[in-house]
Amino acid sequence: MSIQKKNIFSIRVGLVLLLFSVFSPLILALRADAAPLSQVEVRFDRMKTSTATTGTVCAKPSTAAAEASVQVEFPAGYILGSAANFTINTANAAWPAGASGWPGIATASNVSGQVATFSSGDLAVGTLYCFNWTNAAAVTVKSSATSSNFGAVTTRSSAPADIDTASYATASINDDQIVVTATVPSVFSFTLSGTTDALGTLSTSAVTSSPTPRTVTVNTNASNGWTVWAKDSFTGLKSTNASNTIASTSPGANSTLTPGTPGYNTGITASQVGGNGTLSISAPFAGASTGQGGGLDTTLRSLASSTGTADTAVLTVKNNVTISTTVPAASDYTDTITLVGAGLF
Amino acid sequence: MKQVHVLMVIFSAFLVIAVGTALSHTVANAAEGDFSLQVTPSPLVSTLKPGVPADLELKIYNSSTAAEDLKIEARSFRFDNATGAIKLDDTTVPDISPWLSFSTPTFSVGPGQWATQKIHVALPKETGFSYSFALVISRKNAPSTKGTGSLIKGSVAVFTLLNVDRPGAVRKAELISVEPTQKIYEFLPAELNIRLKNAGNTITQPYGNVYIHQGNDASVPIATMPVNQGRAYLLPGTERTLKTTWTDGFPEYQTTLNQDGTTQKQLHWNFDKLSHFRFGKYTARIVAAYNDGTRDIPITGQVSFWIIPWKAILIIIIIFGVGIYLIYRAGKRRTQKAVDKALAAQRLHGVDASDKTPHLD
Repeated sequence: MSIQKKNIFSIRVGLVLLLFSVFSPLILALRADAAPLSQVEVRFDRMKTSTATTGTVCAKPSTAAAEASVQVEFPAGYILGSAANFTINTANAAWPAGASGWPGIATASNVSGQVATFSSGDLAVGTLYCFNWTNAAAVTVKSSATSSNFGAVTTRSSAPADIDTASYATASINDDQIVVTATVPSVFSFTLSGTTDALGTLSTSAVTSSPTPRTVTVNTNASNGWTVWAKDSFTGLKSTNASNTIASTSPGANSTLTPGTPGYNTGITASQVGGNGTLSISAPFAGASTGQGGGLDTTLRSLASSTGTADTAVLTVKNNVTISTTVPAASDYTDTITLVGAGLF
Repeated sequence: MKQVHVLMVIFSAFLVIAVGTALSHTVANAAEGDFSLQVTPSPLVSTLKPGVPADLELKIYNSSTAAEDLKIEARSFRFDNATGAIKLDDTTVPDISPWLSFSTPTFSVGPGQWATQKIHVALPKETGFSYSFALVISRKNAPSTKGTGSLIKGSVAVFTLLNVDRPGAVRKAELISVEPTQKIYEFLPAELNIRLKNAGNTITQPYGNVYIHQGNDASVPIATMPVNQGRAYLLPGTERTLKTTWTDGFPEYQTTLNQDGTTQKQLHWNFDKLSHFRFGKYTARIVAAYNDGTRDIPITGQVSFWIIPWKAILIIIIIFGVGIYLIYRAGKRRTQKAVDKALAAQRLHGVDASDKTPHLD
C-alpha cells in the first residue's frame, strides 16, 4: 500500500472512531437498563396462603426524571384482581420513618399478568414515597407456603420508559395470626369494714346509733345480681349480768325508735359507684332517718339486693337502740349480727 | 451470783410477757379487723355423673390486711316462687351433705393470698337429678365483744348448682305468663315480666329475645331486647319472673338511686332520639328457647300494651282550646266594633235605627 493510500485509510478509520466516540454515548443511553431504586418495600398485610390481602408499596427514586406511572410486579402465584380492585390511599399505615404520600397515585389503570400499573406524579430523588392498596380483592397470596417470593417496583416515564426499578422479596406462610382466648371467671367480693360496733352508754332521752357505722362493700360481675342477708343471735341486745334483753323491733317491719321506749333495730343506706345492677334496700331495713330501721332475729333476712353487676356497692349498717328508765343497768348488753353476701344465679 | 440469777429470771419473765402480749395483739387484729373475701366462681355450676366422684374447685382470696382462719360449710337455701327471693338458711345442711366433703374444712389464708378449696362430690348411682345448695365461708372463730354493742360477723355464700346426667333427666321449661307492668305507659321504659316455670327435674337456663312491633304488624320489629341476658337458672319445680325493659324512646324516664335506697324517676329528653317518639299500640313477642338435652325447644308468647303521652296531649289540647277561644273572642270583638262603627255612621247620617240595632252576644 502506498503512503497516500495508508494516509487515506488512517483518516477514514480516524473519522469512524471520531463519529463512534461522538454518538456512542447516545446509542448506549438509548439501550441502557433502568437505574435501581434507592429503597423499595412492599408489605402484605396478610401473609397466610390463599388469603386476600391489602398492603403497602414504598419506593425511593434515585434518578432525576419525570415519573408518570409506577408498575408493581407481584410474585408468581399471587392472584391479582381487576384494575378496579386496586383502590388506593395515602394514609400513613405504619409506613417506614420519613415516608411521604405518593403524589398523583390513583386506582390502578391496568393489570396485566402479575403487574399492576398505577399513575404517578413526578417524584423527587431521595424521598421515600408510599401508598396503600386498600381492597383485599386486589391481591390474594399464593396457595403454597414459600420463603422467597420475588416481585419488583418500577417507576416509569410518560414514554413509557423505565426510570428506576428494584426487586423485593416476601414469603407466604401457613398461618399468620395468633388466636387469643381468655375466660373471665364469675367473681364475688365482700368486704366488711369492721367486726365490732360499740354503742357506748345508752340514753333514755335519745336514740343511740352506731358511732362509726360499719359498711359492707360488694364488687361482682354476677350478671344476675347479689344479695346481702343479716340475722342476729338474741333478737335484741342481751345482758347476761342483768338477765335482760332490749328487744329488736318487729322483725320484717320498718320502724323508727322513740327515745325513752326500749327498742333496737338496724337501718341501711346504700350507694353504688358503677355496675349495671339496680341496688335496692329491703323495705324493712330502710334507715335514712335517725332511729329508722328493721329488727333482726335469728332468721337470715335480706338487707339489700341488686339485679346485676356492682362496682363498689356500699351498704352502711347503722344499729340504733333506745332504752327506758326501767331497763336494768349493765355494761354487757351485746348482740352478734351475721352478714352474709352472695352472687345470685 | 444469786443476784444475777434473780435478774435473769426477771428478764426472762419480762421477755415472755412482752412476746405473749405482742402475739395476742396480732391475733386480736386478725380476728377483729376488716373482713374481705373474694370467691370465684360464684355461682358454682357443674354437671356430674352418678357413681362417678368429682372434685369441684372454689378459689378464695383474702383481700384484707390480716391472715384469716376460715371454715367452709354446706348450707341449704330455698327459692321463693312468689317473690323470686332466695331464703338462705345457714343452720340447715342440704340433702347432698352425706356425699359432700371438703379438702380442708378449716383453712388459713394470708393477706393477699389465694386458697383453693376442693369440694369432693361422690353421688351414688341411684341419686336425684339435681342439687342446689350454698357453700358458706366464714371465720372459724368469732371474737367476743367488750362492753355494750354489737359484734358483726361476715360470711360469703357461694350458690352451687349441680345437675346429674343420668337417664330419666327431664329438661323442660314453660311460659306461664308475659305481662307488661302497666297496660298504658306515658313514656318508655316499658317493663315486661316474663314468668317461666321449670317443669322438669334438672336445672335449666332458658333465654331468647323479645321483639317489639308497632300495632299488630309482625313483619318488622322496631326493637329487640334479650330475655334472660344474665343466663339465670331455673331450679326444678320453681317459677321465676324474668324482667326485660324497653328503653329506646323519646323522651324516656331514667331511674337513679337515692342515698336512702329509694329510687327516683326523671324524664330525660335526648333530642338525638327524636325519631324514637313512641305513641300507640305495641306488641311484644317473646321467642325463647331451652335445650332439652338434644335440641333447642322454643317457648313463645305475646302481649300488647299502649304508649300514650297523655300529659303532652292534654297540654296540646288545652293550648289549642285556649288559642281557638282567643281567636273567637278577637273575631267577636272585631265584628262588634264594625257593627258599632256602622251604627255610629248611621246615626251621623240621621237615620233612626234604634229598633234595628243589632247586638252580638
